[in-house]
Amino acid sequence: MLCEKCKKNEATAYIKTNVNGDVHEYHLCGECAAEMQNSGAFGSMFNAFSAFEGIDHLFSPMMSGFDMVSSLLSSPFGSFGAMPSLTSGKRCSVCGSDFRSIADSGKVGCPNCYTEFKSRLAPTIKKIHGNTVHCGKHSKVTTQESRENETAELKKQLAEAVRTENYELAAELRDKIKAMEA
Amino acid sequence: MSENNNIKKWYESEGEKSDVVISTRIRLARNLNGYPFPHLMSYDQMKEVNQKVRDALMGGNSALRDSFRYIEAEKATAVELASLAERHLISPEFASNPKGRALLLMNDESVSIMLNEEDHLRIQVMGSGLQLEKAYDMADKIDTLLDETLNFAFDEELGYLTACPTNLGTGMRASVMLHLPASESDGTLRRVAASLDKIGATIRGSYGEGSQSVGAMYQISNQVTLGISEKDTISNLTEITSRIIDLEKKCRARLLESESYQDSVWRALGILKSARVMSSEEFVRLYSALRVGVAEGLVSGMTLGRLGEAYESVQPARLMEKYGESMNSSQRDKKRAELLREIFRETDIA
Repeated sequence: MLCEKCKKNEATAYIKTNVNGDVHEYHLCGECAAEMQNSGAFGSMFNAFSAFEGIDHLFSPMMSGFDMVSSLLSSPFGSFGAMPSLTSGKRCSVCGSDFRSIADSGKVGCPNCYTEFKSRLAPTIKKIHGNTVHCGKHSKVTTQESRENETAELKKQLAEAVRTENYELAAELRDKIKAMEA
Repeated sequence: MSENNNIKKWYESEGEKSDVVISTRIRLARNLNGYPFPHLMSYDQMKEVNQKVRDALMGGNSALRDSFRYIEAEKATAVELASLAERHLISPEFASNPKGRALLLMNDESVSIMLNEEDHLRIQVMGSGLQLEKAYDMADKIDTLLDETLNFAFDEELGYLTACPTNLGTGMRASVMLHLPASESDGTLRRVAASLDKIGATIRGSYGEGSQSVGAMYQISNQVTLGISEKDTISNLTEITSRIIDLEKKCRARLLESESYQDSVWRALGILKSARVMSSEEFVRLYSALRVGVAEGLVSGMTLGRLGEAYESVQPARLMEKYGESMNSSQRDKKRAELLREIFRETDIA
């Protein structure tokens, strides 16, 4: 089958978009798929790859807000190879995911991927949530860690206060550390 | 799968504002460090995670050890899974891919923890009526208990780390299921729905976005999870819900003045009391009409709590679970009509 857009190359990418029941199918070659992706012709589906996948099914069994199927006819990741923004040799040290497979599935591989692919995931996260950081409940483990870091910092300040013979400050710091370690 | 049939289930009671609010749900997404997210997990890894969470919740020192039962999804029958999905205790997706997945279910079914659905843990608390704060408190308590022993994946900036970036931050989805027949019928709801996404909420028909709502039941939930605290999310959603309740009540007051509307309630009761065959589609329609009648005092001998119980008891998989897994749809329609006649025997025009 020839690419629907350029009508020259063999179509290697099959892309189906479904936005609230409005279904479109595309058979494209790698180049045209990459071009359309860059021009934003598929909406935001490649960049905000997962913006619509986290929808809950619990109250809404038949829900499919946005359903992107991209199965590729020739090789599994064939046409994505033509997309420079999605190619990467780097793999997560915990789960082995590369960025391409994350973008393709719409799901991150493991918690560690968020650290390993931090800068590449940032635009997507920003697109979904805006330019913001977490506020709300903290996991205990992290809270404990950050508390330990804080006491370590105070201990450093205490040592410095003792060295410079600033005993008033030192007493204050000592009480603080005591309270935190209690 | 053993059941605790003698324990009163959450949907058998009525909560705050239950004339309009059917139920409340809080869901928290949590994951463990050191494992891939479920879509990349091996069967053995899934089993490991199941065991870890089970031990954390039901192990020796846990305050909740006797309150939960553990259900391995792949050992349950298709009908049992469908029945759990009907009661919103698991997602339909979970029910159709049970391999390696498990469920921790509280005895009164108000708390369910899906293991290895999209995230390692999906902690869910359901309650009848409007009780977002109370439901969150329960979810928070369970989350804190599990966090004691499980190492939840968390990042200072991104919050709880989830398989899908849409859930980052609090990992919380708070939802209310509303019954909005009056504001639906006069077009008020459509105008309100259009403005909801500007204030960070979404509304869907009970069968999903873009679909026609069934029985005028709508779900409203928060959209954003990063950069807003659990407390603020809940107070926003409570505020939005209260406004929609006011609108619905105003529309109902207008609608109830009309004789034809009252007539539709009593007709619904007449059919429920006498029909010999009842499909689930017809039931949902009649249920919707009668629910307003019970809520607004047009009908006697029925409470919203018992009506909620009736609704659950005649769902297709529930019927099959109770009266035989081989029942076909026409057998179910007969059984449903029979049960409903019995349930509404004492119900009458007020």
